[in-house]
Amino acid sequence: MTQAEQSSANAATIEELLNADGNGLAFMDEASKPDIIVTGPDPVDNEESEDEDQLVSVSRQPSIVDCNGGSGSGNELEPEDPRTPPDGQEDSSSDSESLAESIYHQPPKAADREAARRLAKRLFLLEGFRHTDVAKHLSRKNDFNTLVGEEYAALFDFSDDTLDTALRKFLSRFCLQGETADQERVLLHFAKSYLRCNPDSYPTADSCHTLACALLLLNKDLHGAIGQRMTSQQFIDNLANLNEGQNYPREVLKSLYQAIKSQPILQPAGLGPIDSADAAAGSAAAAAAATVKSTTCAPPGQPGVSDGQSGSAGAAGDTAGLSNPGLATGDGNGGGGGSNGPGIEFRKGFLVRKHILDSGGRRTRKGRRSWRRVYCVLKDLSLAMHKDDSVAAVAAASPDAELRVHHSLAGPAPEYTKRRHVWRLRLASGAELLLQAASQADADAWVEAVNRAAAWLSAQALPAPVGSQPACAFARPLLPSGPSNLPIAEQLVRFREQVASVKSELQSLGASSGDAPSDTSPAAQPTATPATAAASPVVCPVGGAERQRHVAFLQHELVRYRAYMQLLEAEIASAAPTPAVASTVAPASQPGELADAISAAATSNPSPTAPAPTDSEKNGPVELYEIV
Amino acid sequence: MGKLMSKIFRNKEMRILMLGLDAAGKTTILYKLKLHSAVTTIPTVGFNVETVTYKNVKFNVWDVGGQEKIRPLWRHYYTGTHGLIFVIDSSDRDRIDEARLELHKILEDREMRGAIVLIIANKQDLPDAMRPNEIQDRLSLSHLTDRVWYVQPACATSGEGLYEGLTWLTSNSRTGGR
Repeated sequence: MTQAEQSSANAATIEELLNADGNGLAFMDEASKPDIIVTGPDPVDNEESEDEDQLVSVSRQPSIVDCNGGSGSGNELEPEDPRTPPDGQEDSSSDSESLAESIYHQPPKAADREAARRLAKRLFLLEGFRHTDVAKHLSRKNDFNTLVGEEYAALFDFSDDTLDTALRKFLSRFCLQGETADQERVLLHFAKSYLRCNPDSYPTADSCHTLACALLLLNKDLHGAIGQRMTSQQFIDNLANLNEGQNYPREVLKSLYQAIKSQPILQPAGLGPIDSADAAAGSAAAAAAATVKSTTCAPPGQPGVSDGQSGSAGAAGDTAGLSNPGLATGDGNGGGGGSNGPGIEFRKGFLVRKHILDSGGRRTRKGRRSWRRVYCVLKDLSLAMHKDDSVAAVAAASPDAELRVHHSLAGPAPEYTKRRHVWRLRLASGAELLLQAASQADADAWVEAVNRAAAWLSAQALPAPVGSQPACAFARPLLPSGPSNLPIAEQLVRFREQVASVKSELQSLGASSGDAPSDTSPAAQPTATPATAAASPVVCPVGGAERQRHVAFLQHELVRYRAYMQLLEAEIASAAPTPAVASTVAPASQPGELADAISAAATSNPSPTAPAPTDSEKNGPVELYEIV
Repeated sequence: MGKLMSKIFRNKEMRILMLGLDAAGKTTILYKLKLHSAVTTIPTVGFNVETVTYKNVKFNVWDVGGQEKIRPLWRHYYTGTHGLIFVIDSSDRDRIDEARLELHKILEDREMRGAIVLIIANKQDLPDAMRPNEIQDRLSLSHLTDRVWYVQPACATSGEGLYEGLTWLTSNSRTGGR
């Protein structure tokens, strides 16, 4: 192996590693992407980190393009990894040795045509590559991959082919996928190669490229079942003046139109795009989890949470028929409803639950209000309810119900007297449940666990939209279901800001925030408030019912954010690994406040201080947050 | 049968173009919308388009490519476009000017005259994300005097804000809404 080749091989390895990381993270949260890059190899030049964006989008693409049969092999990606090909060139290799080599012995990267040619050839012959992986090596926006793309296209002989024939030939060897912009880049290589083979066909590579793109668009238009199909005349009109300012020959366009119409350009026979991104995401998530553990600022449960999210979306949605391996199988790599992956398990145990309000605060229908015993696992922001506590039931990818407890508030339910040890859970959606615990201590511990999960991991509400027409109707802010990646000290700052902003909003509505003397958030700076109200400077005449709804919502928000605040304050104050004892939802200092909104009759709250929870799992999450 | 049903239930169709700089999150949005959509498309070679049905309105969302000289190819779809979704990366202050130029260039197109403009302010989960007011300024939206526009903060990875954006499109479109 030549020195130069070695260097580009190393560069490629770094790229792959970054790719793998970025890949997994892209699925969960773009925010943490940069963190991971930092923990990765240092001497990555600009070109590559810039490339990272591209990589992420490219590698995420296959899930968009969708998968048909054969996607079962998506999981093969992982076992493939250690099997580094002889050149070690572009295959993902998480081999630590090669990583070290890449970091320490990497000379400045140069676009190396010889290495590019070699790789192009291997891509062409599919040596060590699947045809679904080819496109991303051709479309990346950097010098090396541009060379690879050129060399790859040069391996085809398009002499005397019509443009559509040539395009079919080109696209028969790999799956062209990725963002439109990526596909465009690949086609540019094609156009240049075509023009080289047929110098008299089109005036410039650009005009050839434009037409090739037009054919791809036409193919989608005619055969992609998108609605009204383009006519030949429309196709011709659409291309007017695009041949370097001139028109393409009408006859050429007509025959190309007919060719595409009569015979669609297909994916390589029998091999649909394989959802490699998802499989990669699985393994990358595991890898990322290892990295994340050492960086305290990232929330520990992130991989599990976001996988759980996509998992639940996938399981609940219509993906069953789409055979999306990463989403559907829940193979313990972090997928599967968030119950298997890494994450903080706040509490688990049996509860009897009863729905009383559906999302939006509507009363739950009669037939659905019955009490039912379930085995609950609160992990990160997911409260999964299983049939029983058997290993099989818990391991099942789809629990009977999975609630997201972000921005939720748990509290006692003293007005409910038919059963004992009942607590109330109000979710961000406005849905409400009653849950019966085994004992009062158990109920209190659950209340605290839920509120703690919500306080730790609830992300900031999205700001209110703005538009050309002022919005008069009150709209609830959007509360992200994804986890926050802030350390709890900063979470606390956010909550303080929220409390201040909600209060000022309430005041502007002429409603009382009900606590002028006992204001616990003097630190909040008005300038920094991400007020949901600040974004709507237009004063609208608000109707009575509307206003009432708004005020009620804000009052609940105030109680909720205060509860979070107090919980976090207590934890930070105690700064001990087991702060659980110190914090309850309704501390003695402000007994009325929480009670007011949680339940009107809460003034007779029997035991505001929770007995110390003794569950061993309580210690787990706390250690991860020792940074405060 | 399907046609009859859609006639009865007054299924509408909205033609939507989605544009934005690369890495703004268009692909993620398409992916996310698709997951929750009942309509699944057979993968066809060609540029990305997704058909999403939401609240009886069928959305055809095109991912329009980035290159200047290729852009005119979407002229065909501009005609009769009810809405434009312009996606921006709210955390990318370096390229917001580029996005502004891009947006205004698209809106100058004759065929886009009647289109309402939904700006998806994506990646709001990033700590220093621009807020809608700042985006309004940086994109000079106030200069669009005869346009109906809306800046919807969103987080495409978890899905918040996307359907709210579509809801705005349906309720503000003269032709496509209910």
